Amino acid sequence: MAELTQAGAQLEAAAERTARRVERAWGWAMGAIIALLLAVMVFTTLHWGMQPPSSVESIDSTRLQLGGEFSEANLGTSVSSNGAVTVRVLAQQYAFVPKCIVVPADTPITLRAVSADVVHGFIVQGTNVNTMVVPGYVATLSTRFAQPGEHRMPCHEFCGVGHQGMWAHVRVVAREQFPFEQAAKAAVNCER
Amino acid sequence: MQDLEDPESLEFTSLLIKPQNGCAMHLEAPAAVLDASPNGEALANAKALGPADEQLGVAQIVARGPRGAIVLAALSVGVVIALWVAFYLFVFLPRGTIG
Repeated sequence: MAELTQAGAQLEAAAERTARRVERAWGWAMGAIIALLLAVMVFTTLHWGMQPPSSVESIDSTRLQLGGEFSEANLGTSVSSNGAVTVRVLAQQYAFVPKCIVVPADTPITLRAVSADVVHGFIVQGTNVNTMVVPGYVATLSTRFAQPGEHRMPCHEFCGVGHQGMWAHVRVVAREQFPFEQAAKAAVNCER
Repeated sequence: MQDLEDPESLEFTSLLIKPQNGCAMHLEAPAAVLDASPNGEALANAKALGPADEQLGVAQIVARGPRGAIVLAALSVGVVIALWVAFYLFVFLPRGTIG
């Protein structure tokens, strides 16, 4: 009986050692996974300059149509003197203005969107362009459309009874087909 | 050999587990299940001996470590991480960068 008790004690000690070894190995494995995920995030941020859309710039939503950056004539795609392409979009119940955005492919583009009333959503399907448009703030993000094509751009934040009808389109055209000169003078969209 | 699909035919086997520094537990399970388990052999040996040896048999099993739990946890975490990596490589990156 004494031998059995001794054997039992030895086995219990072995069980404890095994448990400690397993827990230590599991801890290392979890640490490695966390390190991998952090490394991927850091690499994505540094290598591609990827970051969440910024919405820290404020604007008076009640005076958007009265002039300034988001007046009607400025809505659409414009090219500044340094060649930067900027798309300005106004979201309001229940439409985006302009309804169809035209942009050149394979070109850095800055998207700036504002809301004239309530919170809207801004998503370009098939891309990572996705942000909320909060009244009082300018939602800004930079992207590049690799290929020419047509993307749908629905409002994806419930904004009222007409929400389901709030759609726009993004038409990506080849660089040589994009009217850079015209866009340098006035904002362009699919219709003008 | 008992048929695991037919509960009526199952013959239950009792084991008393009494760790030195823990609460005693009474384990009851169909003998066929115990025999079919990876540790079935050790349990069968324990059953063939007396109650004191039963404890020893259980202690032997515990000393080998929670192999089933490790396999299950590793598999579950592996599936989650594999899905994350697959989404990152084949969905997130092809959709382009934003800044």
